[in-house]
Amino acid sequence: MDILIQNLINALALGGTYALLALGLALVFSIMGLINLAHGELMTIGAYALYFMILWAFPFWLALVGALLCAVVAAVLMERVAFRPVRDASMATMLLTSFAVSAILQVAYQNLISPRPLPVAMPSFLGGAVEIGSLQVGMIQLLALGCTAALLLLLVWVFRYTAFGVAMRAAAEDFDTTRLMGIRANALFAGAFALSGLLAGVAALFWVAQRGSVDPLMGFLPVLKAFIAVIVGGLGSLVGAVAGGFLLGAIEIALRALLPSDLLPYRDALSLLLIILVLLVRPQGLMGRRREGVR
Amino acid sequence: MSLKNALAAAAVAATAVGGAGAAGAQEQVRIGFAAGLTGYLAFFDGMVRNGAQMAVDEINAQGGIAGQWPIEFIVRDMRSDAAAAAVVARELVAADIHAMITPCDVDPAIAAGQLAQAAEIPMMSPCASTPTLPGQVGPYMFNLKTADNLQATVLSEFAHEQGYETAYVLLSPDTPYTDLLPRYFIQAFEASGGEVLEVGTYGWDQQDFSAEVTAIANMEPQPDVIMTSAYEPHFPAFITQLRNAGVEIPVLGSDGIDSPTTLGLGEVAEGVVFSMAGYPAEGSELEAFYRDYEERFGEYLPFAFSASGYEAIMLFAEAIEQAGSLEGPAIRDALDRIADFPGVTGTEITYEGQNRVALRDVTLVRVEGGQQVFLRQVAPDPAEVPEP
Amino acid sequence: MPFAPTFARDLFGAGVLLVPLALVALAAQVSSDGALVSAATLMLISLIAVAGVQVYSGNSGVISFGHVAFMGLGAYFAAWLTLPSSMKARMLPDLPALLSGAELDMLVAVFPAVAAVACAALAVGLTIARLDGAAGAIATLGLLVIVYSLLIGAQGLTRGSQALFGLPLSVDLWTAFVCAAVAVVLARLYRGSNAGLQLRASREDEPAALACGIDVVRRRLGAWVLSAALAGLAGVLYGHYLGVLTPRAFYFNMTFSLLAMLIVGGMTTVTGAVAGTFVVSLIVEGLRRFEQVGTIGGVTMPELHGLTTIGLSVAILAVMYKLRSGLTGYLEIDERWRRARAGRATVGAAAPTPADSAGTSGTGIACRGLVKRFGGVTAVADVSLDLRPGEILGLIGPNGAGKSTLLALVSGTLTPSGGKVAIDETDVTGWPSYRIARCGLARTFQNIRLFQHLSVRENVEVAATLNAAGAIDPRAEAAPAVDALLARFDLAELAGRPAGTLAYGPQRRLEIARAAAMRPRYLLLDEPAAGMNQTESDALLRMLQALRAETGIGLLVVDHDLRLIMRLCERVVVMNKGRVIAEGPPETVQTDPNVVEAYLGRRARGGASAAEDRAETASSQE
Repeated sequence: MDILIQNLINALALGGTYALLALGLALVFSIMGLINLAHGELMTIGAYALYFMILWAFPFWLALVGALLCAVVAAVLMERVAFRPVRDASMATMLLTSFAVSAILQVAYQNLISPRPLPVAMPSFLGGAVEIGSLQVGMIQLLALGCTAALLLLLVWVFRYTAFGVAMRAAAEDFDTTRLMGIRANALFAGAFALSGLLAGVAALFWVAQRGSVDPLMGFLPVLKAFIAVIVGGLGSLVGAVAGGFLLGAIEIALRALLPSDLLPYRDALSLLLIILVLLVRPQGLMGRRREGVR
Repeated sequence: MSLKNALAAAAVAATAVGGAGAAGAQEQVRIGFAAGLTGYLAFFDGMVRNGAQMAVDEINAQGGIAGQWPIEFIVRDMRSDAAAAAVVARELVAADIHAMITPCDVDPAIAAGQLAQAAEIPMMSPCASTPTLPGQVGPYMFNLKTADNLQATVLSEFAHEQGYETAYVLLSPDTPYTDLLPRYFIQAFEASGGEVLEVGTYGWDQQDFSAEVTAIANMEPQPDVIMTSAYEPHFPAFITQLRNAGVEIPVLGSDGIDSPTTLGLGEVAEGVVFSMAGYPAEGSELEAFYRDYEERFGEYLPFAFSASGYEAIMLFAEAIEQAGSLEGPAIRDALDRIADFPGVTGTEITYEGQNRVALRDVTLVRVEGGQQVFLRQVAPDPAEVPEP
Repeated sequence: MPFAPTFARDLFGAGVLLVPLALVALAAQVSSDGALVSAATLMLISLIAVAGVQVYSGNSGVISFGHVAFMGLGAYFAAWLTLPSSMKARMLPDLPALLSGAELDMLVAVFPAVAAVACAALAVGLTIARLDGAAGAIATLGLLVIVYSLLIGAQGLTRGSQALFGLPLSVDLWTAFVCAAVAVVLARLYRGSNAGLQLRASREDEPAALACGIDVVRRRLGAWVLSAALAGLAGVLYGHYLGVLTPRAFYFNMTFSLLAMLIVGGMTTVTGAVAGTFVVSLIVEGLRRFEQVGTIGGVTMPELHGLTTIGLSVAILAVMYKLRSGLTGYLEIDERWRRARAGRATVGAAAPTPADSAGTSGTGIACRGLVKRFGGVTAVADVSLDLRPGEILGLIGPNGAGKSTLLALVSGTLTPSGGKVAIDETDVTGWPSYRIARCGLARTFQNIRLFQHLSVRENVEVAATLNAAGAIDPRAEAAPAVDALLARFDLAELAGRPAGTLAYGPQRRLEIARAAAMRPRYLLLDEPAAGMNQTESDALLRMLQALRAETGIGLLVVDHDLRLIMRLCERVVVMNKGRVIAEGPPETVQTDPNVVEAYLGRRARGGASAAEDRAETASSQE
């Protein structure tokens, strides 16, 4: 029983990180049709910022804020510098562009910072576990869960009740109409990227806290997972992206916890297989809308 | 026709720029290194490269090997990828190298090694420690690092001394190092009366260890010790998540975590014991070497990979001097006869009668306060060492 | 049967591309510099894969991230056959006995390996070929990740993520050259073939291609299998050149560099594939030299790793930002030469009648109770309508009346929510539009849909070959008919121009010529005179009348130009708000009070309801 609950928490924590990343991806995709493969590098920037600010003995809370800020600024810059020239291009063009941007950033980290993993020591008050009944729950996991939940709720509020959020949602639904309503495209793009950068930054903090180190390639894997989450959630659906993230987290933890050891090597293949099964049943993804296409 | 000539000329010119010109001076000894300067091996191969460069410069300052053969050290990036390693090795072989240093992981070492083997070029793997490697590649391949089975035996002996009777072992089938070393440990540990309660596995593309940690935390009874040969980035992730879940079972690791990352992890890495190639005690030759390294490259990195790079060049130099020739087979035979060669890591290195797997001492250290604290330097009891 | 001229032309085009290949191989051989030979060999192997991706992505327009997966499969399949059995016993314990005993030569093993890749591609392609654009690209990305995971997971068959080594090193420069030559020739022949032309047409405009009777999914599937086989071939060679395999070798890095080559060169041509592979390989090799560290000639080079990655990335970005169609654009090098030489097409002396029509027999098109709903909006509500053989029927109505939607329902571009469509008594309700097209129904579109980057001639050819499908070289077979149609619609002078560069009037004419080339029994024209001045519209009128007189074709014409409709049509149907409100000869309809009220009255008001406009646009854009 304890194992089950503990694994449930594991799934929520891992899925939450995926969900944050997937939400950032979906936000940018729904507004400009870009699947940003360089999203993971935003995460890495956030993580490096955290590393250096801790190294330079900034107060921990300031380092957290600084890391988030760095990710946001980097995201906005990325949109301005790299993606504006291809804004109206086809999805494949944008995808390749983001691929190139991602590769350039990875090499830049290797050369400008370090090719090897840099350790990030979290302050001791974040270490250890908390006793809840008969359960031992890791402090960081607990924080990750809480923050993810709080952030998602906050975003729901932003999307529902703020002018910025409503415009964002409208743009995600139908970009051209939103433009007609007099909202500046540049502001929307910048806003979407800033928000996705913030989400990547938060995800980076949890990821690094769990991982203990920062390296130039660390962003690739989680963003690949988030990408899968976006697809399974329904491309372009914000709620779907979050659902997809949690689903993927649950599948991964379940497979690792339950698979007999001779099947364990197949866990990644199996989790993809389950995802494909979901897509076979719902080709448009969990929350995607079915569209009438050309035949 | 003129176009073809122009192309050929341009090609030759381009190669000459690359320093791989076919027409090198006769008396130069060319030693190639297919190095992972980018990617996950960058940290290890970077240090090997620097250490080797120090040895090269030292020898060349004295007029070359045996005073007559200066060394040309040719380094090519294989991007931590086995296939790219094969490409680079082909180029090095094409550049007529006399000896080769292979990358720090087994697979790329094999990839590069099979090409050099075919060309009868002696090779040294400075940090791949899998004892089966020389057998897989062939008679021109030599291991330098402390072999996995030696490390595993010393770790097992240590575990018994500490009174650990049961163990949890975490391995990954994705690389020979993370697969074989723990298996040797299981063999040695069980042969000497210990019990391995459970074997967990992780994947190369895995950074979340929460499911594994949960499994450990809920083991009944709890194991006395956890053993793994995971290294970066998996070891930091594993140990961080393990400790943060409140599991305080002691952890044994191997020389893959002989890195600043382990020491920089803070409290979570406290108390981890791991095996390594040599400890830089105050006033030791190794410490002096690390200081020289710091002077030259600006960073004090007390990790044996640089020393291994240095030793690899020195062993080649010794073999070439003994052989008195630059012929591959002659160098190989001389290398195979080396015994009790004093390594800069503070241990003697013997190849004679060892099937090209270096026989050397194993050092154990414990992480305390972000520092390595010396525990012991021992040669394991040969009776207890599992067969490779 | 005369020797097929298009085939000969494409073969020549492929031959031209082989010259630089041969030069590079020779230069490497002559230099006898090992590093250079190695670089040239790898470049040729890459070219095989790039040509493979070109066959699919270049012709279909769907970027594939998945071909590297086929490379990996090919490499592992072949390794199962060529590895010494002692090594297989040690490294691959789960291999079936049949395979574990085999020790084939690479040159033998390559055939079953490539065949197996083709089978795998066929299985995957049944799904992937259905997807276009973004969805297709994403699916191929998924394929890459899945195959990678499988290769890692199947440890007993692949050694997991550990390296599989000991493959016989049986590939040299000239093996690679021969295989690259084969790949280039195949890719070039495919591009020029009828199937290739049809697929390229679908890349330019899928709905129009479907309306021309092209089974786009089948064409994609064919190209997918061929291109995967080429990628598999590249994988076999790659494995047996390096002697060692890891799943990681067949993942994102390789995908990225192959796509960089293809895109830099220009995805739509084999010339582009060759040029891109050359240029990018040169960049990478050049940069790799700068990456070398240590002292070179006494100078200590600064450390800069990953320069090659940066080079690739910058090359991709440059192309994405500045030169979307790559270095070579949309024309093969031989096409470019031909175009330069033959500025003006030689117009055939006497233009024969385009095509003795498929006949006037049949009972016509019958629509019964057609309904189409978009969400809550009913665009077409219970429409019944007949188009008789040889008749010219006009369909008019205010904006948003549902005319274009009706055309889309009849031609199969949209599926009706209710009701039936029959063509000559064959019930075609719910059929895909390419099958309906093959029943003898052609159409034009309200917003002209041409195959922009194909030449004017090719636009007509795509449709004309529909009737020559059985021929050995359908393109050659259809040539006389194409010549005649180009002459008839006054397009002969423009035959070599890309359709997208034509002025508006010729574009309209070309679209009609393309539809006529299918030799349909029925032709649906959606606002053919839109944007034409009176002279042009009169010329169109004469052209359509002549077409009907010669071929006995039945025409359904939708237009706002009432003058044209009244003069052209024998019968007029008027729609409003999704329903038929009047029907009869032009004179009668013109004076029908309903029509005056709904159509002319509304027109007199001068303003159109925005909502109806949007509905009309939305439905016509489907």
